[in-house]
Amino acid sequence: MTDVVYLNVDGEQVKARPGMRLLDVLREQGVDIPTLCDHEGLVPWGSCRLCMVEVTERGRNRLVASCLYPAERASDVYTESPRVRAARRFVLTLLLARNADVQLVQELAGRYGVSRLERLPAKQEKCTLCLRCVRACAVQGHSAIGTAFRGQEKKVGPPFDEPPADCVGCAACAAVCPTGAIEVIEKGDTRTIWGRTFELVRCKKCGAGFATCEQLVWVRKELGQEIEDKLCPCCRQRDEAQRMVKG
Amino acid sequence: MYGWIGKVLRVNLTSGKISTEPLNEKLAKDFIGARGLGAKIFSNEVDPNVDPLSAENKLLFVTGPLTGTLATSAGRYNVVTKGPLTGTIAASNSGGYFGPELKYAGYDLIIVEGRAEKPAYLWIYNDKVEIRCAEHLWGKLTGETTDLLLQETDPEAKVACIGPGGENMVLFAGIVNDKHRAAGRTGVGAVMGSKNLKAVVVRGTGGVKVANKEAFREAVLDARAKLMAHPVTSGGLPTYGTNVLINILNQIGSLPTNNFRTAYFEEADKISGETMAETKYLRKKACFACTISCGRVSAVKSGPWAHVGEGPEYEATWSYGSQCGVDDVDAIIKANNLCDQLGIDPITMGSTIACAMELFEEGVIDQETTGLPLNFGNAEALVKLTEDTGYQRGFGAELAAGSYRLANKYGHPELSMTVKKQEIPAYDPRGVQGMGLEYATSNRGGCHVRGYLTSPEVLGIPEKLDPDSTEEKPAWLKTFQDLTAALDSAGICLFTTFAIGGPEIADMLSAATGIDYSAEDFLHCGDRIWNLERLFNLAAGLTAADDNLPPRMLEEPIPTGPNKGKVSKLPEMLPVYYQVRGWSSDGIPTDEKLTELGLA
Amino acid sequence: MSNILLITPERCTGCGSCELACSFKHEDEFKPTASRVSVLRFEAGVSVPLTCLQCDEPYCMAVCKTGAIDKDADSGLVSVDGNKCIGCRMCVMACPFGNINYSVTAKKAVKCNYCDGEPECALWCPQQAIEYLPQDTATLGRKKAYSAKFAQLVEEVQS
Repeated sequence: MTDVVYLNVDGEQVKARPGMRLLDVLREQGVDIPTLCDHEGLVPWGSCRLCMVEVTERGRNRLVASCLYPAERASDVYTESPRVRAARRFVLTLLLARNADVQLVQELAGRYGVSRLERLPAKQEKCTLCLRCVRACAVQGHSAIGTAFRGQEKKVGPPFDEPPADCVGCAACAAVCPTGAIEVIEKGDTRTIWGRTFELVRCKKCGAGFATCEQLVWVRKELGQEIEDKLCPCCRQRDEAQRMVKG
Repeated sequence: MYGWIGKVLRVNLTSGKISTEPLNEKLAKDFIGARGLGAKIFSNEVDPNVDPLSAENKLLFVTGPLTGTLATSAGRYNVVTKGPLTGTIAASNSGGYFGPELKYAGYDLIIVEGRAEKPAYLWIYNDKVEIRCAEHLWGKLTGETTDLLLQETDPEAKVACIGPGGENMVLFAGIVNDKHRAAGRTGVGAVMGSKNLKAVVVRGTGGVKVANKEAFREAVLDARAKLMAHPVTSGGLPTYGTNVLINILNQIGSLPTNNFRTAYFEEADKISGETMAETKYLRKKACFACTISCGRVSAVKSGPWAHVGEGPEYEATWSYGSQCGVDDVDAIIKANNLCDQLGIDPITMGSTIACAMELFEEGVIDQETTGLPLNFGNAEALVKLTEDTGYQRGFGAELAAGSYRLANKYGHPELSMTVKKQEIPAYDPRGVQGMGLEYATSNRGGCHVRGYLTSPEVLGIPEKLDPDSTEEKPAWLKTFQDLTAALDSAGICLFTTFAIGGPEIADMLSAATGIDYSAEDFLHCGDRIWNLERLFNLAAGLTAADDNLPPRMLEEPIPTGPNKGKVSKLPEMLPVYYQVRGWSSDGIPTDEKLTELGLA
Repeated sequence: MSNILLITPERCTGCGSCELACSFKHEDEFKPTASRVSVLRFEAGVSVPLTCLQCDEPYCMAVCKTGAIDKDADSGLVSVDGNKCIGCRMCVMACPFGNINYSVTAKKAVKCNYCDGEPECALWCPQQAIEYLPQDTATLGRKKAYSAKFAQLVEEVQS
């Protein structure tokens, strides 16, 4: 296997390491590829179909999702060809119908000259079904949320729409959501997410609620040893500093 | 806006109404911030004839555009109000960490109006602002008040509060922030006390943005390099604190002693920075973003006055030390610490005791009045009378009005060493002529930090001037006053000017705000601020007759020491100063001048 | 050989220049709460600047499931790749010293990475309380003394 592949990206020769995702190769070159579902910390999913590019390889030409496509042999890549733009416009037309109010979708639609199709019923969903949340939950091994139903009815959430038993309340799902569709309510010493309310563990020094009990249990299990679970990070630092002074 | 936050917090203690408003960008540009912007807003809103201790007076806490940034020693804020001690506009400047925190909470300034019915404090957490009950804090010392407030709000909050001194409206009460830093002079703490406002507690989690990141970084690196290379800001002050001046001033014969009876103190070395460094200082402590670190944690290790605290600064060491003829350094440190705790100004306190000592020695008052033998050199009296003053107890209740009112009461106004009713500090104007003119013309009464000519006259910075000459002093003073007014307004510490000047500060200010200030523009702003303060004072009833020194400075030659035989030559300098300022011979800014400054 | 960041708390005057320099570099504003280095201030003027110790076996890295936290084999620096971070905050809970933070605005973990080899805090510290020094014997000796105090802390936590 060679340690370099040559790609021709929009007419310019580009070097890539074999096996690299085409999306990463293009981004390294400064090519702006729109994505919703891609997240460098999560397994590539290819669900949003916005990162489509046109690839001609061994004489064969096709549209591929660049987030899933490995650069393995010499090929010609077109990132803004009419075919690519048409594919993205199609995806954005559907997104704009489903997520009419989402700013990110509106911006992308604007960029590709897509306006709303009257014949598609407009919905005000915030979720684009990119499933970053589901993967962020799964990567930690919780898998507290998933998808339910199919087609038009497909949606993300905990099983049976009940407060999820496996959720640890870390709120990573909300942090990775590109459209702010997941609500986290921090109120007093509680955090509510997916309909489940967590009592936050209070720092024994300053009293601030700093983590869910489930988070701390998970961290302890992952590390395979006891952790500092009585103090919030700020008070740990204060404690640490105090020892420096005394020691 | 860059540098500035762009937001004003207004709190009316009478109605309980809390509101915010945008900062006027034009005013910010012309008056910069802190002292200047505060003076402008204050004089726009408050009648100059207001009774300082009435609900109609307002109390402003104002930061500058550099406050909270990495600019050199940029931790300053100003308290602006009408001072009850002086009846002048009061801009009392303090360091520590309170000012930057106010900006991080999202405000350039707070305007406090009215009077709370009951003791209250203000709790500011970003955009959450509450007036809270402070009845449980009333009567408590500043240290304990601060600790309790941190417990009940946020351990990382910053507190500016008054002690019993402010509560009891001692006319020279200050506002103490971060336990040991104070907006000390002119009685701003009494104004806060009159409003029943025990404290302002701030926690901010926001930031301060500057307009031009790279230019700002370069400008600050340049200014810092100069500060860290200069012998005063990298050697003298960091090693000995401000008390490095005790021996210096005494050696040239300008260390006022025994209520200015003379200007040479035989025992000076016992209270010097060098001595304290050896025996009393524990460590250096810096204000926000400061490379100089003049602050000292000090301890009296044993005896009746054993404690750990901070300071004293040079002026306090002087006022309690040579000014009272006291060489007991433990008593001085203890008395100074009491001032921090009670929230009163040690310069006026010490000098008022010195005045009382002279009244006592002259036989004007006796032990029946004072409660103790009040001879010069009585170290115990410093501690006892400071405490009594804070609580308005016994003879302390008479001292609580300052030496001007005390000396007048007993028919000897000439024994009060004050200008505009405020005590002049630690540089004898008979030996340092420029400082005499500085005291006489200060817009907030006797004060050394409105145009610190000690720098050229004594320390030779930026060049050595003959302390005895009068000729060039008015022009130098104008420049120093303008520069100081501008840098106080920018939010940085006066001490930086030992090493840097208008050009360096203007560069930092321009990069921070995105407004192009040349060094000349910067001084011009200072000139504008100085004249604005003057206009307020004139409208408040002050006249050229108030630009004067205590008669002793003009009539009684220094009897001992290197400056023996000298008096102040103020009358030679004052008319020239008015001319240099573009004022009439009555000390009134001319229309032409005001037009030039945009104040007409 | 790479340099190490050495903290000498006895020299710290508490001025906070390090926090300002850090937040200015990484967040483009002066904002101590967003700084990767913190100055802890105590009574009587005692102050301690603290930042990540770049542990040999970082707990933060051990609990990171997306590979966002990595320790460079050559420099020893532990860095967060913001693109890989999913904001689960487990690293923040795992650090025994509170030296890795969660940025509420970025919804990601942030920590000190010695500014990739040119630490601003050391550059701006006026007291040399934070220094960036070659790993020679003298420096390592000082670092060792400093680390011993932390080792003790870890033991106490685990016991």
